[in-house]
Amino acid sequence: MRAREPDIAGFVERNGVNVAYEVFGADNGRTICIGPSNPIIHARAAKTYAPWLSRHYRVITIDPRGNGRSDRPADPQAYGAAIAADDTLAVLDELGVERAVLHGTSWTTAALLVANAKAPERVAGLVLMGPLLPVGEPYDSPILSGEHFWAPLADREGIEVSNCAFMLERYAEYVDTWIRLAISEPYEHKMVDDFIGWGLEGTGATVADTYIGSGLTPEATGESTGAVMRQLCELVTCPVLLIHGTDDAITPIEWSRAASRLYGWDLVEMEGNGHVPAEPVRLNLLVRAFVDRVLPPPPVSSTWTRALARPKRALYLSSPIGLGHARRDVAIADQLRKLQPDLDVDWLTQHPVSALLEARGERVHSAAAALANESAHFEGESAEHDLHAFHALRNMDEIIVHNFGVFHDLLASEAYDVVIGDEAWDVDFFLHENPELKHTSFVWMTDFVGMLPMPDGGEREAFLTSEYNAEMIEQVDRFRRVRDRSIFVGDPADLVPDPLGPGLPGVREWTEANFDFAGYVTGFDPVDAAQRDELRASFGWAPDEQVCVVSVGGTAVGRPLLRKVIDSFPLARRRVPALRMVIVAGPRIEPASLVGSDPPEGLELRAYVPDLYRHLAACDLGIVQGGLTTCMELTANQRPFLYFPLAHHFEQNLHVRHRLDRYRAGRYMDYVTSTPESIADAIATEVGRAVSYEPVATDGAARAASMIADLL
Amino acid sequence: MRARRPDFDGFVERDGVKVAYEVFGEANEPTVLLMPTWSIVHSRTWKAQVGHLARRYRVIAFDGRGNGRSDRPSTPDAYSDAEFVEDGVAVLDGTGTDHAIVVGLSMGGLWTLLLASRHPERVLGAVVFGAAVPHLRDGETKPADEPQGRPTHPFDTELDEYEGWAKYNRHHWLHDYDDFLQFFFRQVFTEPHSTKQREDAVGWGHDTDGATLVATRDAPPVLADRSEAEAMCRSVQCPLLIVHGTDDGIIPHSNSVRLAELTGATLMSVEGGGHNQFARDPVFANLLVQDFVEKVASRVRAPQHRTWTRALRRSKRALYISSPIGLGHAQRDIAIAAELRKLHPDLQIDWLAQSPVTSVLEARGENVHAASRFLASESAHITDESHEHDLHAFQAVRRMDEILVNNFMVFHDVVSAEPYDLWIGDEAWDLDYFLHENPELKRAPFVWMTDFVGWLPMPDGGAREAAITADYNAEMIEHVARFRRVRDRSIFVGNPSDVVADDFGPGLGPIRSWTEANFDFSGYITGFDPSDFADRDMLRAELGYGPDEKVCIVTVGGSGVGGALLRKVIRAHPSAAQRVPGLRTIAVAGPRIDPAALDPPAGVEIRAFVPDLYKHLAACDLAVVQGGLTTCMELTANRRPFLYFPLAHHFEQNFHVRHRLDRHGAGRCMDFATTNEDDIAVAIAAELTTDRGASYAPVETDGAVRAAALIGELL
Repeated sequence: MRAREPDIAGFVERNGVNVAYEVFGADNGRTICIGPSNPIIHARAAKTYAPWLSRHYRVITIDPRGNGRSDRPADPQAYGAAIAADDTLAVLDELGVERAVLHGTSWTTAALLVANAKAPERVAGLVLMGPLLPVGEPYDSPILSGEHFWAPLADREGIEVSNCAFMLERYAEYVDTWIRLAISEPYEHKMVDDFIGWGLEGTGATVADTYIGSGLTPEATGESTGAVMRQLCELVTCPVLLIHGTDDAITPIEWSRAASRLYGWDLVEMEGNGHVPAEPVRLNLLVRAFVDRVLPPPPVSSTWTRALARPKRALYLSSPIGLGHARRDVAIADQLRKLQPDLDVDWLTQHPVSALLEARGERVHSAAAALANESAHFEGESAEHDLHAFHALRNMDEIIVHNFGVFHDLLASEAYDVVIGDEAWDVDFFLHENPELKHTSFVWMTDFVGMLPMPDGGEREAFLTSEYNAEMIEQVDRFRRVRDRSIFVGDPADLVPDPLGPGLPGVREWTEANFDFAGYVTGFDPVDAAQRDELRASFGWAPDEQVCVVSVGGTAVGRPLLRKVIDSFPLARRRVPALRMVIVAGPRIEPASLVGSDPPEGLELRAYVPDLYRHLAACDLGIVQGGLTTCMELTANQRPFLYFPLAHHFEQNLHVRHRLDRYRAGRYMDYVTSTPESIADAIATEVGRAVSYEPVATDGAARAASMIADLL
Repeated sequence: MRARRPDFDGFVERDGVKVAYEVFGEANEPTVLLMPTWSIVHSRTWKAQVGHLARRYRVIAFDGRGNGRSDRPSTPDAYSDAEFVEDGVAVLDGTGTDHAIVVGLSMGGLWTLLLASRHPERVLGAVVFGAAVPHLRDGETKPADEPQGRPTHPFDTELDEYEGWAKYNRHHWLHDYDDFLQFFFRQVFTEPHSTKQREDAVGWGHDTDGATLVATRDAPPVLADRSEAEAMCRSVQCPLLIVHGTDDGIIPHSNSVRLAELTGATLMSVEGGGHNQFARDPVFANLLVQDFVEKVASRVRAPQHRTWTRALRRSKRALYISSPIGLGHAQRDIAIAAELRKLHPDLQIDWLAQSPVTSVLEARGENVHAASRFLASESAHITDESHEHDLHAFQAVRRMDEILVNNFMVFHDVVSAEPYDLWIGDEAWDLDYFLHENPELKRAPFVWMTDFVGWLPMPDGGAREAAITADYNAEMIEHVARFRRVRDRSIFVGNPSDVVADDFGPGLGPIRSWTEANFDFSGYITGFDPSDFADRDMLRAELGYGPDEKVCIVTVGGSGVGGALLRKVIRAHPSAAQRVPGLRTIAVAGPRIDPAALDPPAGVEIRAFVPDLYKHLAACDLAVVQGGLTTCMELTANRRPFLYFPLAHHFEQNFHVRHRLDRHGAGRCMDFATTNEDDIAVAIAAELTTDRGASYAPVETDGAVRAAALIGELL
């Protein structure tokens, strides 16, 4: 899922060629136009900044000719910097934008400087990142050499692949080499994968034509290109911000230093970054500071509260994925308020957690409306009873950048005494990437540690998960101060015995060294036998009925499981005549779509039940997915249950299963190989069975709260 | 001492009235013109701004006519609003300034707006705090007359008594001006813990008189009515920032709400703020003005070339701020840094420190941060505050307020530009105080270290000093309770029993239990290992002290304060030498006392400077010193007999240090004022005979290791 869909997606047509653009945000008089890139990538490369920036400005992105949604004309004359400049101005015309800040990376510099030369009155400022700007030494780069570009096909490596024949004949290799050259920071596999993917949507011909159309004739040299660029630079009268990685292996940083010196332009050197700096947060902040300078925001009145006059406030971020954490977070917040009666708790969280919180009278901060929805993203990543949780997290990259932006904007304008992040991956990750942005105390909470590969992911998945873990270890080790508390919702025994990756410490060993343990937090007290009888009576369940509650959480992912369980009902009912099955479809599944209008006797369909946990506490058997929260609710209430982890969901298959095994709770079922017959067998065996699981802690919320309260 | 002196000063003259100005940071641009406000104060009211702003911009401040170094014409006409505005223009002219960002407070806010309205070409932008624009509210005549909810009192009528705002009265100003000042500045500073700000302002008020103030009050108003006032506000075209406290006791906040409506400018409200944020919330005010200037001046500013280092590429760095007062802490801080490096070999430590600490650090090869040169000298301030063997330590720290603001801003600039993993402040009062006042500025773990807790009044300070020290303590207690996160570690350099038995003040509870609840204890840190001096005979031989000599070292630290004590002890030598055969007195003059002026009798050696003084103190038979903790504890750790003379009015030396030495059973406390040369000679003889050193309670040797372990956990 995208972090933000465009408000407008359209095309301008010039000489029969469609050039695609997208617009994010409404016109507020301040517009940033991200110019068309070299067609080795396209406008999706703006995914980590267009959404956040569009909270403050109107943002326009343009796909280059030759990639993305733009046309790919066969005519070589249809490419090049001057054409891209005209495309950019045409998009501004089409949208009625008189003036904008133009933003471009690498080759796009040339296009934007031409646009400035043609229409300087349209350019409020220029942000040039890793610019191709040879206005000074060195001039001997192969990317400037016509001789090199036009040389015959040969085996080439590194920057030498910038060769016409190589692009045309060995495009995939070219893309792979070039992207890995452009993105040089460790752990940036996702960004590399994205960029290579976009590259492979294009062709070698359009990339080559773009260079050729920009003047890379056989005679071209660094000096000749430099002379042209200097002429263009001298025409610039607007403010310019140069951003350049010190480890840029494509356009040397010396070029930006020379331009800064020659033209008095601001330069931010990104120490340790490559050609396309893998620093979405810092880049967003740099661009914002620049745009606010050249296109000042309208006056906004604000308040600064004297320190000793500030009320004590906590900001609670509760991960919305699967809704699982809302109840435990409310329980922790309640305990925290007992310890700190003068504490105000605001919540920054999304649907569906926000709905539950509001129903409880909690205050959800209005900024939450701006969050991109992680829950919808996960649903979008799901297939039939299948959710590759690791890839889903990985593909959430643009969403977490955007949501960190929302968080950062909020913290910049309001004072909080503590931020509590229950699996708030965005805040935890980007605070470690930008520790200077930490304004206040931060509590990190999670119920699992370690991305683990699924067996069928092979070596690649094992490598990627270990890289994620390695980065986390390095971040925590380097910046211990980011997490003022790290709370594991569980006990050390809940941690899997697996290693975090080759050469990395074990999950358990590392977590014990780096976390405090609150014990599990259910958010309720388990019911005793008398209470259970009362509950059953209140639900209308007879004492001799065997009630099986089937629930698959709040998403549509669970539909196939519900169908399979419904199919097993007649068989199960035959074996257990007193069986009563309550199917809770949840908000995203229409109950009538599961069975016809006439469900068999003993089978009830409910769209929604309030306080589902009470039904689970009172049932004789639960049938659920492998989510931790529901399974642990059943465990805490000593209920028999069958659980079907989603396929490829490493947390459900590995972490949750490990934990349930240690409580000796639940019966693991494999969705794919289970049949109505085998499910009916399992129901008959398990329903009403007396179980004696390991007891679940009941003081987890109080323990977590006291760990947090120490900071206040 | 001022935090920053002007680069130059001068006068402009209009119609025979001289107006005094000062220019700071002459080489910088753009220019920031700090307008005067009501003549009840003068340009020293900007003392917390000038140091910070002048490091970036060219800053001009001038004394409004009627106070400071400016003339005090006697006719009301000379004090019209227009005159102050035209004085501002004249100062711009007189300093060759085409245009400036103009900043004004209260009446100065009105004049700033008038200046921008009448001379738009001279004003790049304007910032007004608590602007006293009249007529903006219904039924109001002059802002200072009738703030919201304030009862109206006649200004000209003589009253039987003057209570509350009735003190705003011609007759009262002429007869009991001080009473009016006291009252008025309580209304200006409505924030708790504002004793110093009120005291300053009352002091500046007394630089003029009631008659002059009456003349300013009788001046003809420039804006006759509401429509003129509104038209003037609407005519301001330059960028404008309006700031107003919600608890302003002089001009109601609603005045600026209306002003913002009329001008379309940004209003920054200060929740809980009084009338003058420049003085009471100086860090906030400085950063706000800086931010405004940066925005307004962005087109004329120099290109910026910055580096941002990605997080995982950053080397591990700590910034160590070592208090320079008395030089005492350098040794211990170096010892802690050395232990910290053992725990974190990859840690780079930069020091933000001043002379004389910097010389010690540089001699040890430590890296003193280049921004240290911007620090205003606390040490020079303390010297400045000293008299003959007398230093009112509490008042000296209190009067160091503008230096502390200046130095905090230097610190803030350093840590904004470069990421540090840790800030260590050994009695870095500026850091600790202003981080609690502005907790949003904290960006790294902060370690607070001190060797005493609690401001204590000297008995002769009376009720007033007792009240002020209690107020300081109360603010600290409130700060720490409210913002625990500011101090990631609080380390007391000593042990719980070293904390005095006193209370913080009425109703504030005992110092010791609070300190135990809020600090970790490292034990004392000498910075050396006394076992290095176990073979004292060898050490004496190395230093040229004979086995039969009785060596008495007299040392008074690095400041000029000790001259009187030094001379008195030198004069006592002949008498002491009669009593102690073989007495050899060595007086260490230090860098600030001219040895030639001491005129020693026979048997006394004067040294300007002794390298490794601590070795001599370890080897001597007796020392005579002031009451500073470091030297006394060095002697204690080395079990040397010593006489110590706490500086008069120095609460730390008289109470905190003495309490600690008593616990060790160390040293003989002497009172400088009542002790004559013979007393000293007798005491020298007595201490040399008894040699009480052996019975001192021992001083721990692992303090630096323990402190480093407490700090190292944060990395």
